[in-house]
Amino acid sequence: MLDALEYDFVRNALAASVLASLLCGILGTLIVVKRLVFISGGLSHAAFGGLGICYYLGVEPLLGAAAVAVVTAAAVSGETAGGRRAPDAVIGVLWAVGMAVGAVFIHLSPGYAPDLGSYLFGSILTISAGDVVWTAILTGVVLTVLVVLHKEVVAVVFDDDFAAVQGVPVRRLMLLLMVLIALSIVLLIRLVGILLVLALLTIPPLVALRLARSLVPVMAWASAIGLVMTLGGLAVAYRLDLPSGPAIVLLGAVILLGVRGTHAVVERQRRGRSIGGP
Amino acid sequence: MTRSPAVEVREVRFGYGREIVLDDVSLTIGRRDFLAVIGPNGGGKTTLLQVILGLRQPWRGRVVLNVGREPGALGYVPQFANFDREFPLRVLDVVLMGRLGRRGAAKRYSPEDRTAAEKMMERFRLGALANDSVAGLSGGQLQRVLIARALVAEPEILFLDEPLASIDAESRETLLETLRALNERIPVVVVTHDLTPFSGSVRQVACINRQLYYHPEGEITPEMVEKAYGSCSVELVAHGLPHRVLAAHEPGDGAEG
Repeated sequence: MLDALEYDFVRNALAASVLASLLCGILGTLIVVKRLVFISGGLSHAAFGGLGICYYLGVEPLLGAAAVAVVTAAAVSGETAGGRRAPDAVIGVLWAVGMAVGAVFIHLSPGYAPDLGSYLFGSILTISAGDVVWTAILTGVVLTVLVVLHKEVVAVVFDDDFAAVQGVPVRRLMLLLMVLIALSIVLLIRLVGILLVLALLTIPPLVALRLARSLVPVMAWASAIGLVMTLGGLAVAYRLDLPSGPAIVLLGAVILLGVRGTHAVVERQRRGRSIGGP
Repeated sequence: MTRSPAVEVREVRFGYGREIVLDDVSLTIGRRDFLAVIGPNGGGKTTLLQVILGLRQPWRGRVVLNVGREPGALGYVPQFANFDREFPLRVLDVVLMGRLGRRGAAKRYSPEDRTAAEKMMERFRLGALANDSVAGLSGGQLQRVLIARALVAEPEILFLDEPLASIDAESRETLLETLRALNERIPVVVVTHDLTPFSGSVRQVACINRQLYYHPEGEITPEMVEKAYGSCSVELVAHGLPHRVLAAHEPGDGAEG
């Protein structure tokens, strides 16, 4: 299988996998513990609307997705920072309408739309060097923000009211985080597709929450698990000739079930001992 | 300068949606006040605290803070029940948040911050839990963590929202003692549904049920309770609590007066 490394597209896919795992491990942890999963889903599907429009206009589709994601993140973060969340139903509407707009414009675009499937399910093997560079830059920005504003980010995610009383600009920090999340989602669309972005943002943190007890270690574990998911999924896809996106997600599901299941069994045994013990 | 009150709430109106929660509320908190805010559930106790702390913008009126204007100088103990109990964070990390404002943006916590946090954890018997995840804490333990976090800030004024909820007797004594000592220097404002534990400390009482009824001597007259709890008969019917509060506090009235 190592001979596959001779190909540029394989090297790009590997580099993108590493970066995406890091990005998802970090932002996914924030999304999961701050309960932003549904909002992130709404964002990514709203982004699909922008993507469709740009496809129709003949502009780079990722540009449209990014623009819509940033605008929506700004609108949504205003709601989240005030202690209230954007209403459930509104996110649902955003989700559906974004999806519908995207589908309509891609349908209206002249000629066959061969990329639609890859936008839905990803096409990690057709990633360009440009995509890798963009993902690297974004990962660098996210890491920098987290290192510089570590204590502020932790405080806002854990208890935004207390952070505000302590003088942290909660609204602006939440907006920054939501924009970074939105941009990451857009880049991840390239990797595993719009429908599978959620899996890569949620599965690794959910596994990692069972393995570590503090935010940064959870992020590190989540990144490592994301890497196992993407690289392992790619290997499985290569060997069994399966589509790469679904292979990545299914491998993640297997890891999640395995770790959660083991954890449940261990917990039960521990409880059983402490009750039955001396 | 020191003669100006710590906090002035002037004719504040606030609500959620169309519902008015605070109506024409005015309140002055002096520099050595120990103020208890009581009232029925949904009467606006917590909301009043949030408006004073700047977490909610009043529809009308204004709040003037003459103390605690520097970052970190406002002490706040929120209700612990609102916390996500699955959160991956160590007890020490949470207590350190009390140093956020004092430390300043984009700077790391210093060794002094850690020392202060450790001392405060010792005082509230949290030392052994410092590296434990808050996810595994009992309600009373989490309550103590939130109190330690507020106090480690060395606040110039302290607001506590139901700080005795599910706390054990020993920690309760530690907290009450700490609050009495703090009140030698700074104003303390406590939201509570049960005045009894604070009867030795409280000097002023505000009853709030949409409107605010203030008593400067820490004694609760039947008229006050009647106004606060009885001004809305629907509240009285909806919540059994007011009767219990009234009954429980009649004998203990007038601790200072």
